[in-house]
Amino acid sequence: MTAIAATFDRMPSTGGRQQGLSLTYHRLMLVMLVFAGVTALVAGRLLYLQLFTDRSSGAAIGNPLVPARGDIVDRNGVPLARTIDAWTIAIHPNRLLGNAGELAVRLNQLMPEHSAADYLRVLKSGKSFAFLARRAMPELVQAVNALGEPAIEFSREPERLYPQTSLAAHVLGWTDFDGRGVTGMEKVMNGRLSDAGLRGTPVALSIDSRVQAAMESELAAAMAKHNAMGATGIVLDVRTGELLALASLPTFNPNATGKSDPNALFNRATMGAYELGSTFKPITMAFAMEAGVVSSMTQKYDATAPIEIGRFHIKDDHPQNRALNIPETLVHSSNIVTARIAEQMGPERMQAAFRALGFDKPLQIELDQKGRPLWPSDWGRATVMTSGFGHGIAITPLHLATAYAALVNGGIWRPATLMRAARPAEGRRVISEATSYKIRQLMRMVVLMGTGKKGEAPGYRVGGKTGTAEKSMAGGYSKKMNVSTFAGVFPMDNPRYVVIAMLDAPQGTADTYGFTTAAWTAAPVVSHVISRIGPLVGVYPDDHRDIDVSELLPLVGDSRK
Amino acid sequence: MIARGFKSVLWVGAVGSAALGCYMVSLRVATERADLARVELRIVEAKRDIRSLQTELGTRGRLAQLEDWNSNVLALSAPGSSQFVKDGYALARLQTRQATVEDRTGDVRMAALDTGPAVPEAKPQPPVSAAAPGKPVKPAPAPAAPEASPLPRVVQAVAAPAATHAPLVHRASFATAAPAEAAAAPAHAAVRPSRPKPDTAATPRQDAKPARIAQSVSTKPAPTKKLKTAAGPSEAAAPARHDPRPAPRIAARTDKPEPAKPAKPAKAARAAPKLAAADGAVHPASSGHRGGAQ
Repeated sequence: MTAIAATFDRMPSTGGRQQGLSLTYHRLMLVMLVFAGVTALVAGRLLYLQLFTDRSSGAAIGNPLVPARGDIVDRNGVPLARTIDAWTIAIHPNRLLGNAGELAVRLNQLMPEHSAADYLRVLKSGKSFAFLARRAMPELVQAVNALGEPAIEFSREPERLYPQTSLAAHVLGWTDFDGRGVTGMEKVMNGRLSDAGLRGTPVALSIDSRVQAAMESELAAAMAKHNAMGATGIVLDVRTGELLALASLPTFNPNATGKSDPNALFNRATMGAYELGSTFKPITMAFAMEAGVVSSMTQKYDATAPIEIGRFHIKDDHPQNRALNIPETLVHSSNIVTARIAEQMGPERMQAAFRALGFDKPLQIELDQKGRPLWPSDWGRATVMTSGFGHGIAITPLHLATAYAALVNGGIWRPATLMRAARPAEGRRVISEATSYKIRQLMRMVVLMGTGKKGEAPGYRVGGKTGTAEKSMAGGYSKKMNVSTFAGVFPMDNPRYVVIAMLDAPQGTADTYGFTTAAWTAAPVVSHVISRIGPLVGVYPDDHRDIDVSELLPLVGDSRK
Repeated sequence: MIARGFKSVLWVGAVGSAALGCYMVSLRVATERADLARVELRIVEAKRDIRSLQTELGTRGRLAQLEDWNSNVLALSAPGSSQFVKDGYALARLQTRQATVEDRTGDVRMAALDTGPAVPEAKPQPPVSAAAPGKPVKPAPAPAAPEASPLPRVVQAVAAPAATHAPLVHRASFATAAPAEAAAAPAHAAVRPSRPKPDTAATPRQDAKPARIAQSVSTKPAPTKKLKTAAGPSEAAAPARHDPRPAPRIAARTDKPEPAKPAKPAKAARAAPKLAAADGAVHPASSGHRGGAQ
């Protein structure tokens, strides 16, 4: 058997050996080709990856750190508005599994802003989607989730958060649910904040949150003390026109705008036009000096008796009953003398002065919420005389701040801005350097010796002017309600900041002896604010420095006559 | 023949291993890349967390809240003009005490504290700790250290002449932190290096000891040997600088400008009586230790 097999086995081998060998070679060749091909494939792939892989592809997917809407920060980078991921609770009523009535009661217990009947209506509506709560707190989400209803859906959506709550609310404004700016800088900067390329870098405002906070808290304290209807405060850099603080009280919380008082949304600093009273006197005086009407500080005007023009009586609040020179006029805040000077100026020059300061035009500021000044239509003798001491012409407090900045900074008027500026905006000269210096001396005299004594902050060389105007109501002026303003500048030897505080309809208290004038109500606010913010903005108190007023001191007589 | 038969196999093997090698490289690269992506993702998540935490912190610590706390609890008010000091001269004028003749001519005293070898020895503790319970009140473990350590580490403090009891300068600005810290630093630094020191570590009271020593020595009327050669504060500071072993912090601090220096001895001197009252045993310890330090 074996022999046969062996023979049989050997038989084909002699003939098929060559053939088998070549077949093997062929197969080997094939295997080699396969290997070579695979190797070439791998090498080619490696080469391809090496050459064509975009290594930045991970970043190109979209940087998750870029917020859906850009941040707004203050001048020091403190966030004022941010976008965070908030929880949203929604429901698919058509997929409801549980008992609708029971669920509606439970939802009402958790979210009492709607009644159980409201929830029931939503649940039975059969719609495919309805919001139950937006901007929900995590605790609420957890509680609703515990209800175990599968039709309820939770998701995240971007939400605008104002970490400082009501701080600078009027400046910031707010956004709607879809993240579009509704008012304030949110609206003004809407394009910039939602631009995909730019929203990664925050928008820096000129506001300094510490200064703003100091101003708001002092104003709130004064407002509470004097039971005022409202208050406004401004801190303006006289060199650049940057606004470090722009406060208007009552204020609101932009995180919950729906719940705020509609009256609080009114921005008094930029929308309210007020007759700001005696704070106009330095302006009249500056332009009178510029026009040559007032050529010397010793120039005297008769202030013995009130002036009567038609039905107006121009009289002094602190009557001196004698002739007053220029420093005395401001120190005692004489309406009579200022009216006489305004009359000498004449309607053209008075109008030109006010136009130079922009009192005839709406404010130049980024915000949309700005009011128009009330510019007198008829510039008769009475109007000219009263406008000299700030009656008959109504401007916003921010108009006054920019005007004061121009008076003390060497005479250059610049528009106010809410954006942090690398360099000051282009300005225009309204008065000369020399006049500006004289006005600074006069303002310092007012605080040292006159009505502005309570505006002094020791060491900060404050200068300024009080202004108390009777509030214009429907049908004339109110005898009881005042608009009390103090416009201060510090430090007077090298002016840096204008600080304005205005109280709307303050009421007298025991420690002000019932007075509601600016000297008793608004001036202390400015004094406190300056003491608080001085070191923060780089002005340190110094008892040994001051603007030189020695030439004016002998000119001011005793006020207790 | 065999070589020729195996040639193709070798080729296949070579090509195969080359291909495998290439594939391994690419696999490795892919793994690395995935790891990198994961790390980057974690970085992004961390940054996001940071942002949300910052937001929360900023919201909780908002200025209105701080104002509330201030009006309800702290009652801080704005600083007055007298609370600001314009320059160094104005600051120096705040010193009320006039230096006496003794102050000007007296020796400057220095405290030196041996902080033991830089590296603690392996097992020095058991024998000492066995000894320590025997006399637990004995407050002089420190002198033992210098003898034991072949390379003593010396920390030095400078003290002004004897009667420096009055505080020289009070400043109410942030700048004060430097002198105050400088005063505290030698004592603090002295405590820390001493911890690895084996012998002192054994006793229950060692923690406070070196600090006390450093402070109390400065009040001792007898100057150390080293100090006798020192003529003034500037020279007294020099040894500390020359010795490479003390902690660099101390050398830097003693190099502080002159105005800062008087504060140090004042602090040390004020602290000393209190400590002495608390622990009468300090003085023997310090004197013994002082000898050892040299």
